[in-house]
Amino acid sequence: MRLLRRALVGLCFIYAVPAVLAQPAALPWQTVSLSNLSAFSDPGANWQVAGAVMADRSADRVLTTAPGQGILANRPTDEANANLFTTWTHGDLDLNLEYMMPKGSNSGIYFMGRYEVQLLDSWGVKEPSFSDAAGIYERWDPERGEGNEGFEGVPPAMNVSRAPGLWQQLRIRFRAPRFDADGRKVTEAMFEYVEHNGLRVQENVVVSGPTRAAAFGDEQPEGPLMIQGDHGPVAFRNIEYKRYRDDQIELVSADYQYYEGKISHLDNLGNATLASEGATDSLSQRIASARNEMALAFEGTLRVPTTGEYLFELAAMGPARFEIAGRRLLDVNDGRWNNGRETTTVTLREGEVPFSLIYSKPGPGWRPPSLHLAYEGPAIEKQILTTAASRHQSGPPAPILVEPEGEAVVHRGFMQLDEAKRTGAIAVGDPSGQHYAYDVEDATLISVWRGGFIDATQMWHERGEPQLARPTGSELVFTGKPTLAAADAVGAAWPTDGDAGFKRYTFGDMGRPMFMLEQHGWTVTDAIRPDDEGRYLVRTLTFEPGNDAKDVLVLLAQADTIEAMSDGEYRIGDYDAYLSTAAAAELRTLDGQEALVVPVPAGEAFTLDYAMIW
Amino acid sequence: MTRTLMMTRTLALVLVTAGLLLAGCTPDLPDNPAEEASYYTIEDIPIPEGVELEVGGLATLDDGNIAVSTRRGEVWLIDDPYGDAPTFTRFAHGLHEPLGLLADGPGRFYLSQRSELTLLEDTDGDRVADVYERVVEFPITGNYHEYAYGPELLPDGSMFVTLNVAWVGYGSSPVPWRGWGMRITKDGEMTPMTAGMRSPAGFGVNADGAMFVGENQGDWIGSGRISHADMGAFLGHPNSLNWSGEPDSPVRLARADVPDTGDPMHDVGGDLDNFQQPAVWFPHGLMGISTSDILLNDQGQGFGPFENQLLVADQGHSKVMRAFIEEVDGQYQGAAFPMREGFSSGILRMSWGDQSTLFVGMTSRGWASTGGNKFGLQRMKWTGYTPFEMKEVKAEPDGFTLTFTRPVDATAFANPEAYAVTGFTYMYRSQYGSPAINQEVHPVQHAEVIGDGYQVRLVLDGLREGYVHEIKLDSLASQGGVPLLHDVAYYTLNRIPDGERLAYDASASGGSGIAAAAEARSEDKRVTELPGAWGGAPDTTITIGTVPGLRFDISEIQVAPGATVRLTFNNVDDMQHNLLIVNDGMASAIGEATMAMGLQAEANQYVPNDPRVLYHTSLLQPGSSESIYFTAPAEPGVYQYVCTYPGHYITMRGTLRVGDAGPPVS
Repeated sequence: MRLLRRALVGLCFIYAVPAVLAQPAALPWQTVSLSNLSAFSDPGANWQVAGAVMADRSADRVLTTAPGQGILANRPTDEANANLFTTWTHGDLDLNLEYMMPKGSNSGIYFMGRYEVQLLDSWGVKEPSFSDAAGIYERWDPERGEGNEGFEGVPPAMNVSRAPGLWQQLRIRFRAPRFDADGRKVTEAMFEYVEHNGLRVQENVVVSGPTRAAAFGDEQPEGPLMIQGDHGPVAFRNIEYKRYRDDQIELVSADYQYYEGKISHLDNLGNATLASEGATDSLSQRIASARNEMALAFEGTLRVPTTGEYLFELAAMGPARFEIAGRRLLDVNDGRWNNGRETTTVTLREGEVPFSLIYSKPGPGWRPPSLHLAYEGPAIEKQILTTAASRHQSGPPAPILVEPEGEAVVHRGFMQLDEAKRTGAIAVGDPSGQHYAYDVEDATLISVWRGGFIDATQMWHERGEPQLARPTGSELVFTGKPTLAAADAVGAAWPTDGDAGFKRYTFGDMGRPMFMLEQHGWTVTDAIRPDDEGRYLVRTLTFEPGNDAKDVLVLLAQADTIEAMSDGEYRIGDYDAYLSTAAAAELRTLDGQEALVVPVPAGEAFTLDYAMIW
Repeated sequence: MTRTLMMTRTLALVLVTAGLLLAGCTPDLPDNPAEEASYYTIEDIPIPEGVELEVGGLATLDDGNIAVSTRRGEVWLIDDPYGDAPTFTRFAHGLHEPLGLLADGPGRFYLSQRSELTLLEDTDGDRVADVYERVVEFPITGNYHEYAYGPELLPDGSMFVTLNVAWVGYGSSPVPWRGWGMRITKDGEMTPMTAGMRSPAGFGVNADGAMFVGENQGDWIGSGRISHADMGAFLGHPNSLNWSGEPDSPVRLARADVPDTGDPMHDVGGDLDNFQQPAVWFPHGLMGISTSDILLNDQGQGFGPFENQLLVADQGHSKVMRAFIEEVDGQYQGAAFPMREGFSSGILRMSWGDQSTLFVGMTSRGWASTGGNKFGLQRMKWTGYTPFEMKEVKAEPDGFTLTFTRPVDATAFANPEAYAVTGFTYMYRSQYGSPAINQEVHPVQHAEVIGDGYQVRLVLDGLREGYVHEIKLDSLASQGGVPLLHDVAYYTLNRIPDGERLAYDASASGGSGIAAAAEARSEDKRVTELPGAWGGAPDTTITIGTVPGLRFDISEIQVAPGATVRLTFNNVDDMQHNLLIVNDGMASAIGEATMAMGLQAEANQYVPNDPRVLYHTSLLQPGSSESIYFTAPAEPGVYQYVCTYPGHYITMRGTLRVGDAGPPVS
């Protein structure tokens, strides 16, 4: 999955995809080629492909482009401002894309040309409406009377929009309306979810008809995807999708054999006692009456609806095996009592095919039996072949959430950064909604985010395992490297060992903590607070020299690319964030990346401010 | 404790006694002399709605008010904790699981967070901490099981903190000083002090100023216990020895010096330097299941007759026990006694308040406790009545001397057959827990009431060093007929003292001890094969499972009178359980009777030989199942089913209705 991969490669200022969104192995997505506009029907002159785009975060509705491929850009004029339609049509659709919104601009994605997810520069909006980014835009009916024409608009649960000119993510699952044989609508269209910058902000939103500015007034089983082109400049990239039909693999017939007794291996079921056998119309481990020391073997016939590539997923508590036409596709746990899961892909021909599924819970153990077989196919959405009840799933506990109320809230807990658990992490939730996590061991920022503050379920539910505090917002993750280093210790790499000298924290206004360190002969105060409008965070480092204060360097940012724009403005990474500072910052090469550092010479007291804008 | 408070306490005691006299009751005896509650009351301290007071640390302040640190990272100041309307003020928040709290004068507290020892300071007197100061950092990897407990004040003014091992399928020490007790000065100098800890959640100093640390059953730990955590001692969990080679380690024992044989700890460690045997074992299931806080009873006579003993709390069994400790041959050893059960949640902390009020702070912390509540705060107070109890057990060259709180009945207590003494110990091994092994009954040869009638000298043969000795008494009474409140003590005999053996006329004694082994359970109460006479199938089949939190998954079942029944009990929990069908209203009595079996309970699947038990399963391991077959009583009526594994009977029970019609199964 491209978006996910991208999140895992960068070292600084990368988007984090929360673990809950981690996708199982899946069939490949279809991508919209942006080497030209051939994926679109009769595109207007306002649409072009570009190699790069740029939108100044303070200039209204300006998008500049550079030649090349890979980015779809819309620069409407009074004369050219057409909407854009795909050549293909869709019903049920999974859609992922990235978009860039210039300041003050507006656009939208219309599923089937009819049902809109709004795009808008909504950066900094505290109480989003349906007309903000990731909102489900309202329908319109003059018959409803003046002032009541608009209806069914649904705002995003939280506004996690990023600043103008940065790339943002959308992941959307859309359900098309269903019609009976006479063409009467029997099921409404629905957005099953909309995820904006990694956070789910819409869930199961039913739309009873086309949005106000839809291209079509009727409803149909399929339609083209439309991007609004007449409301302002906008750019897109990494557009990928999966279209689905109402198809499934059918269980034509199946027989089961149920064994009791100690099962040494799936190859040796004969050593156990055959307790019962017969025909079954479903695949479930619940046919077994024993919870342990048992095995089930299913054999039967499946009907494959379409020739093509299929993905199978087998998950079981204990050993399980799945074969099609005598070919062993999946074999999980290999005789062990683990809770394993494996996936594989295979090309199947349309028609009937024999299969076998064997499951065993060989010995004692308190974990309940569980057997789950799922598949995804060509234009076939992932679904289960076993029954829902065959998979044992304990529901997640009610989340224990922490939010600031009135003043800033401090929350100390372990936090995950890449592979490492940060044991010195302190999360700070700000009433402005701009939250951050600080690691006192390295005196560094772990991440910043907006949306919800902290989910402490993994710390406080039952035994508190694995004791992680998890941000519940849309997160921007940093390298976690120490902020300070002795100038003479910095060569080609930034030193990552050493003690940051954390001493204490005290509090400023609104209960905002200020961290104090003693390092390299300096007493350093590190304070992070929102800007006056509560849209981003400003970090202030104050240096008081001691007797032996050394020359130090302050690391403001490190990323694959850092671009100096104007007057202390920098764009960090792949249009991930901006950094703004009045300090005399230098661009250097560190660890093979670009880094922005500020030297602090020994001697005088020194204050450094910089803004992290995302 | 200030002089003023001591005076207040003494005065209060006088007033209580005077009140009793004025009321005209017998001042010496409560109405229900066989109940713990007659001697020690437990009162709730109300907690405001919305405050999740999962108590991790508890401190009494100079003004007699208290402060609590919580698992959720808050510190609360609780004013007027002696009345019905205490006030709660949040002093601090956002801390990482502070499992300890030490007051250091007005507005100052030391506490351990997972990764550091912290000093909280209120600098402007508004009762909210303004400074969160790191005193010293603790090494940690981020495993959920790496708790830090404390601090507790050491006699020299420095502080003591323990660092839990990580849990990776076993207790591991991935960084120094996991599994160690640390000495920390107030200016942040940290030095390793004691190794060999696994989950040292509670500790306290005895009257000599010696630090004792509690421990829970686990890998290498056969049962709960308390041990003397002296400088340089190794308390038994060997993975902490990964770091005994560090330059500042006071322990020289190496990890490779500790073999994993399963032999008794005393046999394995007896000759090894640094190896410290437990001072008092708290046998698992019999004396709690998770030893927690340890607190010296320094209240004079204000908390009853147990001055200078250690109070030892238990989280899983929600109770407070006692330990009497003596020094023999330079080593501490002594006895564990039951004291008071029935607290509302798992006890983690205790602290003395004014007038010998014992504050008890609780959380279940994800481990079920018999108290049932997720958290709680209670007061325990002495009523002024003196229970008839075994107060002390001291080792003698040829037996024990028991000291009682009241003069004993001279005849009954001189009968050797009134005592049953059984020695046992535990396996010392990497595997989790241990059964009580090498059990041996030691018949009492001679019992003699000595001194002023408060003491009994027992003479018996074959005592073994390194063994726990269960001393169980008949249902005896004091002079004047006060029944013995608790009839058992567990003495950990590390050293048999030198000295004179008691001279007595052996021909006059000759006791053989109580018939030690309980009678075998009547097997027809547990039929696991379908009876042939049933014609191949029972009339009724019932399946009962478990749900987390010590409960059955069905609270009521119904069968027809005289029906043949197959009852399948699926233990899907991660603990051991059984299921007994008992007469109506008898679930608690049978649960208590099981506890009273002492050591015999384990060998008998926790099923007492009692006519009120109608049918039962065996003790089922986690994830196992058993079907029993029985015929329902012919008379309609109500019965109960209950799990009698120690600590479970309070919550784990249900109703069996025998009747043709009635309410449907609920």
